[in-house]
Amino acid sequence: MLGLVARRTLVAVLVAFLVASLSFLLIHAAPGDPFAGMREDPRITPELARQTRELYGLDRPLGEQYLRYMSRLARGDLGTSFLQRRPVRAVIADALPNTLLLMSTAILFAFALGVTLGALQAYWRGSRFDRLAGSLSLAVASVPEYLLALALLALFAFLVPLFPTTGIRDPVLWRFFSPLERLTDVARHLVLPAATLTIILGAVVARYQRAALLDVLPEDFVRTARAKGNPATRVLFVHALRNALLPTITLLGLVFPALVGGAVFVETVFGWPGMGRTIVEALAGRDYPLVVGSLVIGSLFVVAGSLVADTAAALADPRTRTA
Amino acid sequence: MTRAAPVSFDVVGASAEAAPIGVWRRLQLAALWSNRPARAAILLLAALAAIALMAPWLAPYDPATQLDIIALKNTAPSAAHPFGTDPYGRDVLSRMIFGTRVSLSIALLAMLLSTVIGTAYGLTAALGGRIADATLMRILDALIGIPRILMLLAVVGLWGTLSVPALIVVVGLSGWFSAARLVRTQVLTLRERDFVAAARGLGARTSAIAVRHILPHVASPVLVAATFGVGAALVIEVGLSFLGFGVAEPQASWGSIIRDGREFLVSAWWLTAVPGAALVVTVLSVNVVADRLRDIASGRHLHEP
Repeated sequence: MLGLVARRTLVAVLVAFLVASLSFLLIHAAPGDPFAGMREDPRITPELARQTRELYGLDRPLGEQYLRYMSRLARGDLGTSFLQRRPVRAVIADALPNTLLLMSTAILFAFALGVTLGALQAYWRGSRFDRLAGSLSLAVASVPEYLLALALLALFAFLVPLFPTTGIRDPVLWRFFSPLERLTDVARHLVLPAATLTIILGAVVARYQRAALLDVLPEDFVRTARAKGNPATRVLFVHALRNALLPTITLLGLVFPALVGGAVFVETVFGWPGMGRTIVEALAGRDYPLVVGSLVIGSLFVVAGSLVADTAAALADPRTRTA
Repeated sequence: MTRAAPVSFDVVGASAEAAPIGVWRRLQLAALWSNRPARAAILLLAALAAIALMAPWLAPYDPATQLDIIALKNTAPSAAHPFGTDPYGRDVLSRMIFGTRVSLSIALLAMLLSTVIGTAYGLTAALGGRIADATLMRILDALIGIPRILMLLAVVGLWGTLSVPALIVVVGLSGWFSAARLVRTQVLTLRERDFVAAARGLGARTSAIAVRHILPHVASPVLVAATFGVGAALVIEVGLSFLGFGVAEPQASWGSIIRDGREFLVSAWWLTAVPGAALVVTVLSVNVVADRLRDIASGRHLHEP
């Protein structure tokens, strides 16, 4: 248990170091620089361009730049965003909660949906319902997030305008809303992006849950429970399901990185102001400090999420607790 | 110490395991073909491959030519343009045909690259000793933790648009982690088998054992993983092009066609629906084939009614 946390913390540090070094390397190996556009601007004298480069430390030797950059990073200083002209830390502090809201909603509903569907499939295993749900979940799990997001956007925002198309809140009316109205406004904006992630993750969870239940059913304790005279529903949904939940909790740790990747697309399609959209915009604008900051924080977020999921799985399984 | 004279493997009686039956025989392609969904999927993928290969002869127009920027802007499907035209007045059918070529070849070649790297990495970790194994696995843990799309966005986004070969390399370089882990686990169990001990006892070098005795046994699980990998690489490339970080304009990829249609989801639905449907059907076909290959590799297909 402690060993797991210690090993994963080591991995987290390694990830942060790797991501930071790699992004530094990439940025300096990539063609062009953030002030390349300044050279064409007649109003900017060579002197001013030089001063700007000096200000951001771009005139120093590469090794020195790397050391400065890593030591600032280690102290938690992520620098200043070129585009937004405010600390990267502030930009991320604005974006991260939105991504957390989106992902936790999606995970919650996906697991509720997937576990229920998988359990029902296992209960009626081999039936027409089981086969239909099985093919459907395989098909849905093959749909990339960006396509489902575009489909939901076309259906429920344009054709049948039930939900807003973009953003996290109403840009105009927000100021006049009461707290309750603000809550429902955010919830309405949340429906489509969260539904996209929920549907795809839910299909994956359902497939795992069904397989996990079918693995547990031949075990002795299931037979004992049935022999004691428990009804079949109780045996399956209480005795077997509790044991079959373990692999599904472990699944969360495995899919977490992919889920974050999916959030990048979903946030871009729905204009959700989270980490994913921040990264895409920072890349498009060559906002290097923001790119590096959000990549490092984003990766740490993924590692932390996987760690929480794995720890939860270990806690839920008494067999791994002593190990 | 004198080395024993070279002995034929048959002497040890380990030949049945030491020389596995041919990889393709083991895969039992007949079992793949006899499954109706898998057969349909293979036929579909073969048709797509044919379209990709013969793109210049099949496409009715040049995929990058703006035929008539005013009159042919976002026109609905018609006899002259079965899949309509895009916001720049280009023929969507022609772009789809050439896009198939770009997207499929990137996915296939990237998967090949990933499989080679992953297999080599997994083999090295499993056979390279404890320190090498621990180091390589911690690095792998770290790499697996980073979402693939973020990794790619960092490279592609900063470099601006990449050429197709460069895209193949970066997509391939970001997709080998799970293959490496799979190969390592497989090799760790294979390593303890008698035929490996026999080969080692006969004085075979680690590299020879890896290539001649262990590699043929990991071929079928690697093939299953590689098949799934084609679908994953395809989705990633289309996704990158959709975000605008993939193939350079005016080159067509399924992703860049979807991107062109993003602003016209309802008014020019064919721009997103056609490549979207093509992508889903292709990925689904690949997954059906991979699923069936996995059943065959594990012998599960033998228990079917």
